Amino acid sequence: MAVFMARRLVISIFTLLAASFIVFWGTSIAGDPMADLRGLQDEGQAQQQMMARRERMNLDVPVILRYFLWLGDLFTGDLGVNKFGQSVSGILAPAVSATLQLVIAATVLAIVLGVTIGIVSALRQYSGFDYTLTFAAFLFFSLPVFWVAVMLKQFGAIKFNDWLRDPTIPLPVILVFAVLSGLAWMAIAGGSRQRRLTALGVAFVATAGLLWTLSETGWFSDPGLGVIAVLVLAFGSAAGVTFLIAGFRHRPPLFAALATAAVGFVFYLASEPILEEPNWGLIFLLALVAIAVGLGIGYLLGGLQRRQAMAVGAVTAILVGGIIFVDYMLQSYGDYYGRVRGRPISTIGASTPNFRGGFWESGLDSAGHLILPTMALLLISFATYTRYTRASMLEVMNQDYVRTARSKGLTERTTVTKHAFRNALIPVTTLMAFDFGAVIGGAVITERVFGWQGMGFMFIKGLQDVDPPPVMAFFLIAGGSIVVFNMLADIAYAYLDPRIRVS
Amino acid sequence: MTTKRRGAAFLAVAAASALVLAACGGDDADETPADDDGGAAEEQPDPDTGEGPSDVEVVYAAEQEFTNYANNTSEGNLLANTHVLNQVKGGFWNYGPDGLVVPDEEFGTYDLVSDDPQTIEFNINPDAVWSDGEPIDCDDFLLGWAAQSGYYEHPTETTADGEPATLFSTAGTTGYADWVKPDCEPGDKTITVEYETVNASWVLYTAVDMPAHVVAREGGMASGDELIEAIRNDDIDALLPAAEFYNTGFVMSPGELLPEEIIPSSGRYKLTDWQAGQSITMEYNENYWGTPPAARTIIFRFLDANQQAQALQNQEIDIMDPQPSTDLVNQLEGMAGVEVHVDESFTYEHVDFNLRGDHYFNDPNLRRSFGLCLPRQLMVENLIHPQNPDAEVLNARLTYSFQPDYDFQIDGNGWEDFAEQDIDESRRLLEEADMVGTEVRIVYTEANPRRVDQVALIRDACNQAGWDVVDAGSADPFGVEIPDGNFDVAMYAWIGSGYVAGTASTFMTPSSCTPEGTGNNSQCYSSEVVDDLYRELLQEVDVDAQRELVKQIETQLWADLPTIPLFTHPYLLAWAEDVEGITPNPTQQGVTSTKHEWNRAL
Repeated sequence: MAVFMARRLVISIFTLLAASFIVFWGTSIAGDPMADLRGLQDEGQAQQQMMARRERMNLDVPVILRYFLWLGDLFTGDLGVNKFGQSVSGILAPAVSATLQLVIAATVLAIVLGVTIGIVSALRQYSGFDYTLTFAAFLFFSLPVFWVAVMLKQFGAIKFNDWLRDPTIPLPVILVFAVLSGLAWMAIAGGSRQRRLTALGVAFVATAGLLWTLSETGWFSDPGLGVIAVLVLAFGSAAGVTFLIAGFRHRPPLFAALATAAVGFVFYLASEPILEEPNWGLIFLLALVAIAVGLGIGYLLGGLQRRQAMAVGAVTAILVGGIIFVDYMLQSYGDYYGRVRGRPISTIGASTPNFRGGFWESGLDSAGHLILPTMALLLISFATYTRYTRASMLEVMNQDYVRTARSKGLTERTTVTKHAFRNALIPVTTLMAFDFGAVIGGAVITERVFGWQGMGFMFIKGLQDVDPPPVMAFFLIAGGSIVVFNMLADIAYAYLDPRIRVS
Repeated sequence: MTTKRRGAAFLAVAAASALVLAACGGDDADETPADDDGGAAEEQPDPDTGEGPSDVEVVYAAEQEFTNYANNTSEGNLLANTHVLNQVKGGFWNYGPDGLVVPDEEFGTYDLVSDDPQTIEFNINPDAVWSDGEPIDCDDFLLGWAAQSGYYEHPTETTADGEPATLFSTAGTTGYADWVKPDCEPGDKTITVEYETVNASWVLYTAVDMPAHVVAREGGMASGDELIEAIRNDDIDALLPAAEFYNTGFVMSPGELLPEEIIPSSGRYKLTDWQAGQSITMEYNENYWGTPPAARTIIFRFLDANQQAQALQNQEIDIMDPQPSTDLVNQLEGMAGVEVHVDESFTYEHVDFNLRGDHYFNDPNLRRSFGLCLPRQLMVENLIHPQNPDAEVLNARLTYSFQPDYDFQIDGNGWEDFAEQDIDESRRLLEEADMVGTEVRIVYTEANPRRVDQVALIRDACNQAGWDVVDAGSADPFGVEIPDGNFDVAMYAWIGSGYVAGTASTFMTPSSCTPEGTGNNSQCYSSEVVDDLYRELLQEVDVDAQRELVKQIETQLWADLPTIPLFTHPYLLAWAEDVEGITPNPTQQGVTSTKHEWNRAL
């Protein structure tokens, strides 16, 4: 393994070196680095600046030598300055942080949603749900991201914010949503005709009722959960988690889940002093405590199903924690809504300038700025994950060991979650590693359209300015992370799949 | 045509702002009640009492990130910096919308007190202080001169040409280089300056720029007085550390705003916050001695031009002035609640003939032939009218069509010969020279789609006259083809100002017709008449005499035809209708030069 890794690393370094020369050369000849100074008729000014820039960028030196000058500086740890004299490391730091903020949430969400939906559509192969999702996945995958982004801004931000002034949903719209939801749940539920029709009916009524109530009570002008909704959601998620992980045949996991939800709810009622003005450290700590409590309750109440009960407890605890988090955040919605002049969804940037709110208001502000770019990124990368997961899951479901599991009498849920799902994730894991590697390079178009000056923006701007140092900094980080994550993917693959041996 | 209109320009601005204010005041009643229950009302604790600025934010969309507080150094001289620093670093004047100087008398006054020698007296407002409390006086004035005159040479560094570098980095020494070394006592607020040679554009050169006490302190001196002493004694050793700080100490990485003790403000606003890649905030400078600005907070959001329209519609920005395109203008005009202003800018498109060596365009009849087939009217109609329906063909090179002096300048200057496209005459001239079918390579920046269209229109028209127009678009015309003289016709735009002195280098005989020598005179045009007229103009202080000289130059240029002006580029400004006090300003300083008048209707 060590030899394999070392060999890979050495090869990668040479590849990067060769590629860095090509990138440097390409950037240097991409146009006129003085373009912004051309045409100024007052010659004195332009000439002085051009002379200074010529010197700063070593333009009198041939490109090849310029590359070696850059490389020499790099070995001393100096990324150089851009053509305006700013240090590139100073530009790089905020760019990396902006990109990570923007892309991590989207990537994680794309993985979670993509894998979930991929699994469901594999289990309901050739159902209406499967066909619809296949169609949607291909549709989203082939949409040009700049167009999606502009549409999202027009309808998700501008029109939505306009609508928020008088947030009522017209009856026909409610009905359309209810029918769609009913059809989706019908397809997901599968099984007998009666079961499917029940799903359709229940989903239709629930969706229509919920939307109607929210619209009539003016919930959208001051969204919030409140005690009752938190209670319902907490116990609802307890039941859901139990259903997915353990099923209802044995009682202990269900008890563990319900007990966890109850503890969470009690905590919620008493949490005001702690959660009034928290910070991320505290939230992280509370999440750890919640997991520990969930595990503990599962351990105590688990009985024979102790492992399942612990898992159910931990997942329930996290979900309930999430519900409480959302509830607190929405409590500060009123203040925030006023502060942004009634337009909570933003089309540009990472935050409202000079926004000085508490933890929850800032959280809302970030959410309002992140939601559209996240959706744009999600729509596109989610397609890959659903397709991969679906294919991989279908392959696994036809394996001998799955048939063996079924034939020894395991329930379908156990077969799926314990035997099929885990193995189906192995190829997806490598995909995730690649994806995270690529993510660091930024999302050039999404960043640009949503006004985030991250890595992609730095790269494009450097290229347009014919300014090699920022482009090279981008290349080092993006190229380096792809190399590292590719290697991690190989290692993870070898580790997860015992059939593979690296030598 | 320079100083005479100072007062008039100032009045025009005042009148325009009054009109805007009045117009917006009337809109208040139309505000729907639905808007008010949001938050705009909540965030205003009490109505403006007229004492300080009103407690509102106005957001301007800027395309480029800020880089440097010292925007007169060669590194810092970027429009992006100038726009941020307008009203943050105060000064004796701003560019008005007509490109002429509008004095800021709250900062100080200055005037010509003697013609021979040309002497200017500067009076800095006695109350004027940097935002850290230090008075703005003699040391700041001397530093401004020392830095921008190129008077001091660096003891060790040289430029690429082997010349000694200037001690202080500067974006240009024009004007200040003509000053007799000024002098003043510490604390002086009245300073007199003499010009060695008469300078017609003296109103532009007013020295005060960076905080001398900061430069002195960071350069290891006890106070600004010590800096004054070092400048008086030409003490390079003492000045060196200060100059090094001046050259590099004000450069900032994105998001890392220097503390106020390094970048004190001398204007109505001071920089208070900078989020890398997102926004920079300027707030009311409480130590400002004059009339407070209208809004307490001005925010610049850094935003790609293509994203600005939707951001304006979503009320995330209030003011935008990107490069116009037809789609953008249409999009903005279709929006409710948005004011759109389209006008002409201080940028004009032109074609230049190659007059190097024995190029065939040295034959005046061929230039004339090409000039006659140019579809100037059609270009304006097809390419500019969709954005600015009022645009006209430009018939002058030294004066812009929206400037008050334009009619006087073009009256009888010779443009009439080219008023109408005349293919027949063009062909006749071409046939006479026996040059039918001659290839004309038009070099331009190919990345500009409008220029691609312009070349297509020229080809359609001039090929009818017997020319063979070749589209020679280039990725880097200014780096390769134009300096090398590898073109027949070059087509690009000049970015100018209201002061014609800047045009001298475009039309005066270059030092040589080599890549190094031509500079702005890319056509390599040389005329003793024009040279003499320019020499006279650059030293002519009398406004009426200046106008006459400009007209004579223009007439000579129409006779010689080294270049042909085509049209001015459109200028676009759009703002949210609840924002008031916006004065469109097509100069390089832009709409931000009057940011202290911006306000939001409550």
